Amino acid sequence: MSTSAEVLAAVEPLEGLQPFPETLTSAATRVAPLAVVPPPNSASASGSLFGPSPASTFSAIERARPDLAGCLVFDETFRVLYLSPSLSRVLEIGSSTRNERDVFEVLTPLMDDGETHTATPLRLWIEAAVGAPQDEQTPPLLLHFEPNRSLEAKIHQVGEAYWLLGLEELSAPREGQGDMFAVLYQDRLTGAANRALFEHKLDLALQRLNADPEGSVTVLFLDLDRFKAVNDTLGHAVGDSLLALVSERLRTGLRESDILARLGGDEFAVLLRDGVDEQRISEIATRLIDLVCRPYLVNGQVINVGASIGAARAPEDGRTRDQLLRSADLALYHSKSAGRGVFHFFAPPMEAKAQERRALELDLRKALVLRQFELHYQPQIDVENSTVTGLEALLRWRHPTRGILLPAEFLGFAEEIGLAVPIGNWVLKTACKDAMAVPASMTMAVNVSPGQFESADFSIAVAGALKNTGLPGCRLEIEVTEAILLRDGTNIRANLEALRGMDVRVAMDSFGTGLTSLSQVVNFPLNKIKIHRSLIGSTVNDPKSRAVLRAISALGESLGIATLAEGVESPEQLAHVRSQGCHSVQGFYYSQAVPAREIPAVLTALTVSTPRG
Amino acid sequence: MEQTLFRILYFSRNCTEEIGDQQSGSLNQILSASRSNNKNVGVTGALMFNAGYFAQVLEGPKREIEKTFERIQRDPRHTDVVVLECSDIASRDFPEWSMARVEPQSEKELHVTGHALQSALEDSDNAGQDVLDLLRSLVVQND
Repeated sequence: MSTSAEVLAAVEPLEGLQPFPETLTSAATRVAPLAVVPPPNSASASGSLFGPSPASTFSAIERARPDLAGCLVFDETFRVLYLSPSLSRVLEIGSSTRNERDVFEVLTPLMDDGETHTATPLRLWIEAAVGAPQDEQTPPLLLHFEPNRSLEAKIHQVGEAYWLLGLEELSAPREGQGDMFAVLYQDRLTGAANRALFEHKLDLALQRLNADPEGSVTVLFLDLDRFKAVNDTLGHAVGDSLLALVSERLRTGLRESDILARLGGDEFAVLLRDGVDEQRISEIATRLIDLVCRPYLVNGQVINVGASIGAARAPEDGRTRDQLLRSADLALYHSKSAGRGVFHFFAPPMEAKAQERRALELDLRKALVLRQFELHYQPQIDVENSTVTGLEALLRWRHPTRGILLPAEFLGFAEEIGLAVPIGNWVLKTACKDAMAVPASMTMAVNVSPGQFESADFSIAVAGALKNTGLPGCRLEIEVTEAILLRDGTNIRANLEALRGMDVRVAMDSFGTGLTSLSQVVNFPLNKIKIHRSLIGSTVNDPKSRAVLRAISALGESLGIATLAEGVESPEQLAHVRSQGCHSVQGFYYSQAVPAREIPAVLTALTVSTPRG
Repeated sequence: MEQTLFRILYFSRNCTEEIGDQQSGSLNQILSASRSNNKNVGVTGALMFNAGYFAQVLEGPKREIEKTFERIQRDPRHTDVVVLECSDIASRDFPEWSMARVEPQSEKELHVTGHALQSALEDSDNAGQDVLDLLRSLVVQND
């Protein structure tokens, strides 16, 4: 019998049709089901039982078993000694290079090609088989190769240091075998790849990119706009159906070789691996957004959602998986804050902005505890008798290094990171407390963000603040923005009802900038409309602004809603808004916003020498 | 007894850049594909093409309407889809048509239907009903 060294020597020049050791060829026929048919022509062997060469023996097996996808033989260093022609065809690799390659390289197309859904398991399986005791049979492995094509791999040790790996075609996973692949790597809801498979595919694509600097790898992150509203209003079952439809639409906008994954919730990712330049990526992303944004019909309901996309390319936007995913995520964030329904490539400034946001977030989270927030108060004055009727509480953040920050500089972000409600509650409580220190004839106006007003607990927070401070509900005025009219949540209605029940007043802040129509305002239960400063500042000379101001005042008059002009800075403006019928004013002309401790002085000054317009 | 009938009416913009005969050929293709699909699943309706816009009404069993509508949504030949109406209906408006073709036959008709479509869409409260009436009347005319 041949020694190992002789076997190697014999196998090396395979094309030369050298005799192959008997142990190897007979083993090949023993590996069920490869060996169901004994190799033909075995009798014509020139001395060897199974024919003159391994090549002819294996190809004879393959001819007899057309369902076989092929086989290969490798040694304990994983070097491939024999590769059957049919397997070469399956793998689409030339047979000439086989001797320089190890089994993992040869099987790469089964492990990481775009058409293949087989990941690391193949490598682990081979390593396990090689490490197993000789008499232990390694269980077969199910491989998914191309859509609707499955292969079963079997491995068998031959002699001391050789392994034979055979692949058999399976039309479908066998009964009882289960589809482990689907369980491990597919999103159950949509059938798209899951995060684990996506990351694996991305790793492999990046590895290949290292070997081939000409290649390209692009990751698209896609996130639905307004998906939460669908879940909330139509239920999770409809939400799930919608996600499945979204996934199918995305698939129709992609090539066969692109990987589509659902990372969770309404987040999808796409991996584009070849031949896509910037122009092509833009086209694909634009097409995906267009497809997703078209209406859906689910359970007889028309549903409209939007989509935003961020794209990152390797190697320029990141060389590692984590870097690339982060870049794609930042690009997506940028798209969402740039108005949604759009697509953006990653750009380095996004990283800097993200760091700024991160720093701001850390500061904001500390600010409440460190008592860096304070309230400033601006008087509201009745134009008829020039008395102070109320105060508006305005939030200021005394930032340790950046000085005093206005709400516009941080409140939107606070809402994004879930801090708007705790900050809003602090404002509410503090304003109610300070209101108790001013004459009981004065109301206290508190600004509330749409998110805060929409939260189910808002009216409870108001009730708590009133109870804890002893402020009567009729002295509190909640200021909401026009944005609230554009949202139509049940919580908003419920909170409005509850405020009414507590006699708390509701004012529309900064009205008249065109977001909403007068008819929308009419349908909203209001006690006061505050007219935006832009209509006051220019109003004396601009006929259009005058007309709008007059219309709003007239509307307030006829509906019994009080009107207040914001930003009154001069006697001319005061005289004008008074002539147009505004009930009260607020602005620098009377007083700027001042800290609580300065309120008494301001009130005294306004009482003693009330300026008249 | 037929199961509950459902109807959807939508409006969309043509985004192929074809003109004249080429466009007419494409429209025929869309229609014949739509007819063969619809016949098997009990969907009827009408498709109007006018000056770069489509208006289509689909009626039939709800599940089939959903499938058909979803297939249409994936068609790259149109965009800016707006659903004007969708609801349960008591009876079909186009029972004889797996997909009626509604296309203006003359310059004058083109002008008239374009104008009618325009004003139907401007009347946002009744746009669905107006477009539906327009389709109904044109199917009868062109028949």
